[in-house]
Amino acid sequence: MISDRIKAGLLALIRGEVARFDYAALYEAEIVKQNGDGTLELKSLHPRIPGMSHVRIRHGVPGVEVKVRPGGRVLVGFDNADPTRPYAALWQSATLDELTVTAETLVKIDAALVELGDGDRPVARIGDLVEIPFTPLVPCSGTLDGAPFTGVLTIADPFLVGSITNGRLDVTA
Amino acid sequence: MTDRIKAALLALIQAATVPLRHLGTWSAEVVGQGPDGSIEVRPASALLPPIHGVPLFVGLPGVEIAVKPGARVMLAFTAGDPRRPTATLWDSAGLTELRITATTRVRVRSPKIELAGDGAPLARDRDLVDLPVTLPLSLAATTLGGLAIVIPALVFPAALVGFITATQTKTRA
Repeated sequence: MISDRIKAGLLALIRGEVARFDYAALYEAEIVKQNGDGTLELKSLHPRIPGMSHVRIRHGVPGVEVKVRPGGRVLVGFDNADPTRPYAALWQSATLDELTVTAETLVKIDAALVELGDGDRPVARIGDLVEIPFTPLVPCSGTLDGAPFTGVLTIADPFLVGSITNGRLDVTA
Repeated sequence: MTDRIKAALLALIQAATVPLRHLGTWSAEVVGQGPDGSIEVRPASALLPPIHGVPLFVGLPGVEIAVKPGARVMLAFTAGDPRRPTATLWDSAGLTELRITATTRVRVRSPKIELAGDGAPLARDRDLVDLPVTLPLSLAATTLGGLAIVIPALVFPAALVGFITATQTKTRA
C-alpha cells in the first residue's frame, strides 16, 4: 500500500511531468472580440485554460481572411503544446461578418446548384440569348403610288432576339 | 513490482492525467448525419467505439456542411475528454452541400472563378447585348394591289446594341 505522503508526492510529480499534455488538446472558447490585426480575444470555456488575448487564426483552407462577431465558438489549440502559442482553428457557431478568399490561379465551385446570395434567378452569361419585346404598332409615312400617306404598321412577331456580347471573362458559370 | 503496487500506480497516473488517447486525432468514417448537423462516425481504430451526435467544427467560420455516409473526417476530443468528441478536418470527398452565411460580404479574388456550369463568362448589370434585326421591316419599295409603296422611314440599322438593366444587386462580379 502506498502511504498518503508518497501518494501525494507521486501525484505532484506526475502532474508536473504531464502538465504540458494539457496543451496538446483542443479547447472550446468564445469570441469576445476581433482585433484590428485579425487576432481574437477569447474567453475559455474550460476551467483548465485561461482567457487568451491576440490569438491568431489558422484556417482549414489557405487564402482565407475572415471578420467574425463576438459570441461565436471556436476551438483553440497550442503550437507544440506551448501555452504561450495558442491558435484558433475550427469553428462551430461563429457569426461570420466577412469572408475573403484569395487564390493565385483559380477558385472553382462545382455543384449541381450554386446559389449566390438569396436570389432565386439564374445568372446570365456571355452568349446567352436576350429577347426584347417592343410595341407591334409602328407609325409610318411615305407615298402610295406617288401620293403621300401616313399609317401604322402592325408587326406580327414583335420581338428582338439577340445575345449578350460582353461580361466578366474571369468569372464563368 | 507486485500487481497491487502496479495497479495503485496506474490509478495514480490515471487520476493525475487526462486520458492521453483522447488528446490525439483519429480517422473516422461518417455513418450518417442528423437533422441538427451532428454526425455518427465509425472510427478506423478498434480502440474507439462508434460515436453518434458528434458536433462539427469547420475550418471556416460561417460555414455549414452536409456530408455523405462514407466521408472521412478526423475526430478529436475537446480538452482530451472522451465525452466531448468533435469532427474536425475532412478528406476532400463526401461533401453534398456547403453553405456560407455572412452578415456583410463574401469576396472571392482570383484571376479565374468558376461557378459550376459549362464555363461561359458571366454577364453583369450594364453589360452589352447585341440584337441583330432580322424582322421584315425594310419596306422601302413594294407594291400593294399593283400600287407602289414607298416608306423611306422604316429602314432599321443592321443590329441594335443594348445593355442589361435588370439584375439582382447582391451578387457582383
